[in-house]
Amino acid sequence: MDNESLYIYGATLMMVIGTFSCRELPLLLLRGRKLPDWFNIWLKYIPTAIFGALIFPDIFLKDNALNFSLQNYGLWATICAFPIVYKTQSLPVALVAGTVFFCIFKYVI
Amino acid sequence: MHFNKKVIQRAMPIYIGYLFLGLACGILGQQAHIAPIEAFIMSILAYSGSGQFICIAMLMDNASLFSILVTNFMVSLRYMFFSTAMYPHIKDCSLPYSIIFAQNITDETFAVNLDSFNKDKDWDPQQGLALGFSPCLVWASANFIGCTAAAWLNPPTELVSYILVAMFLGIWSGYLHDTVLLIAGLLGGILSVLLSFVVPFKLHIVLATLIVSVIACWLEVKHTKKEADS
Repeated sequence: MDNESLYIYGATLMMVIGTFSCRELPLLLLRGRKLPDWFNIWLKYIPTAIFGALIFPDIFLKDNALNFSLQNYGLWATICAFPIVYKTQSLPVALVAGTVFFCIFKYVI
Repeated sequence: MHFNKKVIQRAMPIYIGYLFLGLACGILGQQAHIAPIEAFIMSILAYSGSGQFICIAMLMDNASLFSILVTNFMVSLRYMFFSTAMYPHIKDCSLPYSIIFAQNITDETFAVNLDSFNKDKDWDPQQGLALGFSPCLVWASANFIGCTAAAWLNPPTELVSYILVAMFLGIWSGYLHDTVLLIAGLLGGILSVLLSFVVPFKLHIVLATLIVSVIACWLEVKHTKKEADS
């Protein structure tokens, strides 16, 4: 097995550990007891924070430096698409709007 | 596991959604050099939509396995809530059965299963598992097909990488129910960019998430207490 496959199977194993523990711990340890209130409040903030944390470096950074040039198509496409995506809160709309704006910036402007 | 017409009827919207998402996930995975069979195995074992999209983004970034683990754990924490809510309905099942049942809980199968348990007195864990597991097969097969097709089509990498960002944008928007959540997300983003300059192994994503979510939770708990006192 080459290094790339090892890396991917390693990542798969990490995913299995991550998802398995979260799905099984309540069954094995809590056995019907409720999760504490603070946990549910915390849970509410994780997805929004994690997706913000994923998106921002992807669009603002190129080669580990902030990039506000017009050639950073992803940044401008996201800024244009965001109001529409925020209003509709729809995954298909995000895919279409993002792709269309990206192509406009890359191929038209 | 009891697979019948009722299960298919209830799971149909999930099949359709997972078919398209799975194709997209396979195509994106191919860009991260995942082979079709690897995409299939990952989809069966991890069975986590947003988790897999995030994993692909991190693989493209050459992130360390440790940061893949921690990020994935954080994004999977919501399953704890789902498993806890599902517990009363499967508590009489054997331990191995409950473990397999819990492994097939996703956002969508949880929602449909909980609704079925609450509204249909004939709904049982046997049908529940079929409803959880059959979309997994659709998801994994679609991943396999998407990954195979992408190797043939060879789509432009720059565009495909951006489609992954657009995907995250769409998933993110689904969580932005109020301004506080939007601010938390924006702060998570800004902090993540700042941390990326100083933190190694791509740990900035999970660190930013942890810091922002813990502070937001602490503020809300404090605020609720204050309101209760006054």
